[in-house]
Amino acid sequence: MSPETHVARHTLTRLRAGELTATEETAVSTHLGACAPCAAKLAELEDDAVRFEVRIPYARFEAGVHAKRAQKAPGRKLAWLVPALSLAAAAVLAVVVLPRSEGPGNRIKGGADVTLAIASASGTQRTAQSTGPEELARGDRVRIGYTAGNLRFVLAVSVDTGGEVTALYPEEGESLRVAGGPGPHFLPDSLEFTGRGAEAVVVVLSERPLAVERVVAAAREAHRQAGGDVTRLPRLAVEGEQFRRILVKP
Amino acid sequence: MPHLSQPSRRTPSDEGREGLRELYTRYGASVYARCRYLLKDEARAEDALQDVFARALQNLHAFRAEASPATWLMKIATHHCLNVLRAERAPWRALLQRTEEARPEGHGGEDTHVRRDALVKLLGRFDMETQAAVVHYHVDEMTLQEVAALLGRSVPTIRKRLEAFARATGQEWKE
Repeated sequence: MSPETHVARHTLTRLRAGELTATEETAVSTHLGACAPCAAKLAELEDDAVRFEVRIPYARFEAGVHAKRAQKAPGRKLAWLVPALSLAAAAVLAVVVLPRSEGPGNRIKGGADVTLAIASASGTQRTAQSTGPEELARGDRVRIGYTAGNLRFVLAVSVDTGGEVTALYPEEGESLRVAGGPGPHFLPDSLEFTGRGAEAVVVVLSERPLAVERVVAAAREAHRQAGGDVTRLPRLAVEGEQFRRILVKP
Repeated sequence: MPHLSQPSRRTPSDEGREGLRELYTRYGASVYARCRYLLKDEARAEDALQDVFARALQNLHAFRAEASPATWLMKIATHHCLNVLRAERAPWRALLQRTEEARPEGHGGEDTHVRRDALVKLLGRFDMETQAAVVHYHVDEMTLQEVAALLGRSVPTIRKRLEAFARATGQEWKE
């Protein structure tokens, strides 16, 4: 390592964290002894660390991190497939024949539509009913597909009988911009719904992006209004076209 | 990570507690600096910091198996902050004009501050992957190979993205 090359900021970060090998550490230390700019850069990182511990003491940091974990934990009841493992299933799901019409209220002006494609552990595929609850078997994996029509954003949540609302897509932030082209388009990865009882999946296609937190709150309120019966879930109090499918977990 | 279906609702284990303190001491300042650099707001940076470490704690065993936990954390932090900005649709320009702008990451002298802030200002014009590549290459000063490995792309792909960034921003590309 010559003075001309300098030590990367990231390498100094790793040095401070004790991640460098003995050989790397020796080389970096030698360089630092002869290179004022790099020594200054390391000193900045040391100063930053001191300021950080004053600004955010450990107790506060720890409380904040555990609060974040507590917020996320109840909603994590889905098993997401490792993309590489789900590739084959996804390829098969993509050729599921979608119904052209699913009865009143499910085909919306502008051609917007939603379908839930289900792959069983044995490899068979089917589409979730739009007119009644769909029984899931153990190991079934669900993928959400949509046709956006003239709408531009998509968001999906699920609500179970206990009133637990899970933001499916996205998990935070705002609605996702829909994919280009006529569709149908499938949201990434497939989901396994765990636990027991019924769970409603609500997909909202909208003109403008919706805040996930707002939709989650609306779903909780809808669950309350339905008295916990997700098959009677009213329309969520948010803008956009809404599609609901009921899944009954094994 | 196929079985997040067994979420931990229990109190964090002793191992988790020890792990968190260790993470705080070793990596807290670097992650916070990255979050503040990108989000330009101390409160939001602290919030992002908590999100990043909550994720690290949830995947503590996998995290420890990483060859470089620092690299993993900086990737997660960068990605998280870029996502926050995208979700909020916050224009970078407006962020930079905030009167209570946070102190930039590091103290590399006035020129360095100007250069690094200019970099952030330009980022918003590019896709997420290019943004991440630019931050890791220009801010972390990683090599092309390191950035490519971190983002799971080939070196030519990363080079192409950095070249495009340089071209679009009127800079001369040099490796």
